[in-house]
Amino acid sequence: MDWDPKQISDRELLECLRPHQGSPEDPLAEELQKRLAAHPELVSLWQEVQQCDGDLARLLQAIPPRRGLEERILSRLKSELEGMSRTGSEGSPTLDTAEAEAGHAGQAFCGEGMNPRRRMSRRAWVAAGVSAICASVLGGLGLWLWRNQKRTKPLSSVEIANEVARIFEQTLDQFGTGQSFNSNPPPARARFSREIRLYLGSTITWRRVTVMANTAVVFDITQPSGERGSLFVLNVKLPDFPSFPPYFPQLQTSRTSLGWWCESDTAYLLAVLGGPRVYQRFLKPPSPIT
Amino acid sequence: MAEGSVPPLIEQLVTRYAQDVYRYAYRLTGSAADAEDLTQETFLAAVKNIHQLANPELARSWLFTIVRNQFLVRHRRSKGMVAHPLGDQAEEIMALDSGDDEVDGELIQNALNALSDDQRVILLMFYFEQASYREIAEQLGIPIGTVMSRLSRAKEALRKKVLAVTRQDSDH
Repeated sequence: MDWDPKQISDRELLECLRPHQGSPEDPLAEELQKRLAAHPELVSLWQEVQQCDGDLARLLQAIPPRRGLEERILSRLKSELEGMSRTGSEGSPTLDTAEAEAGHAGQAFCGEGMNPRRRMSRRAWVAAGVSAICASVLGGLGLWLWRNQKRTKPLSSVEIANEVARIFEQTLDQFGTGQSFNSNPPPARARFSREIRLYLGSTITWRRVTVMANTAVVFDITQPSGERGSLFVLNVKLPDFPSFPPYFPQLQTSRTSLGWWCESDTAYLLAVLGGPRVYQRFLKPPSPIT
Repeated sequence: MAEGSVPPLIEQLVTRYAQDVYRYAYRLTGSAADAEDLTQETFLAAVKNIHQLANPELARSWLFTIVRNQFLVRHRRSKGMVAHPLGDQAEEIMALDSGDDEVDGELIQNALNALSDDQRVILLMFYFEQASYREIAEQLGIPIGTVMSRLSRAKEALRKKVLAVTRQDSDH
């Protein structure tokens, strides 16, 4: 025990102990009972503390429920799990492999604890040392090769969308600080999408960002209503992007709604501050079916 | 597990405990948007570490542990606990108790926001998780004596803040 119950002050005992917690064997509960018996005035003070704690606990729990929270969490989990299962075949741990690894780790731990330690001969020590050195060299070489190799795996929509959502939220202080769309046109390869709905008084600026090692042009759009959104344009071909903007955002965080699509060899990701309704106001209404 | 599908156990956890985790996260962060982000991250971490949940009946406290750890990782400050001078405890307790009808959730949140992260965490473990001083010490890995002194100071600091805001409101 790193403390002496007698050194704990009255106030600390009164503040930290609850009547229903602390068994009779608890040295602090015993100490509190002694002090309450010796100083009856502390009894009423302790009752006041309990009353006050009850009120505070009740107030702290009184928070209105967050609407749609469960749906958004499940949607994000699904996106993440899709991403994990895509990368899982290339060596990243999935839930199943993580569980399996955890099981093996547990077995290894138990095995070490259960078995008596064997004495190793000098030859075994030398062999182990050489093996360790070889493993380190090979590991280092592998790591160097891995870090220097070009990324050949195609980017997935979920990976890009998560990255774009992160960039959008983390660079909100740079929103609208780029170059004017009218006076300084963007590079010809970064075409503004015809699917974006603009109103009289909408303002657009553009800037460059890097999205997963790809240079992207971002159009920051402020609608006359004050609603803000950014259109990320990447000149990459992404096979799993749809060929038209989805009417409902495919990814939602607490602040942002995000949808993505592809037009020929250009990928577009629209991130807006707000929910699905705000997102929909940034898109042209779907054409009638003829 | 089918590719990309949420495991049924996780779905149950989300349905049953998402709002509880959100409330805890809200008190930790002080804003609805940050609380939702923290809640989403908590369930992402839960998915990755679901093998650690041996007993589903303890899922609520397990999720609370995750949300608390996620918060501390994100917001850990380099400076230590802020010590507050000891005041006349009895007077403050009486004063708060007599005026508690005027104390609302927003006022409590403002008072919580004014505390350091460490104080807020220890208070929420005590009030929100109903953890005992022993459980707090075990979870945070600090000695029991330290928990006693930090908790009593944090409670005093919260009462002072609540009282200060209450008095400001009544002056206006």
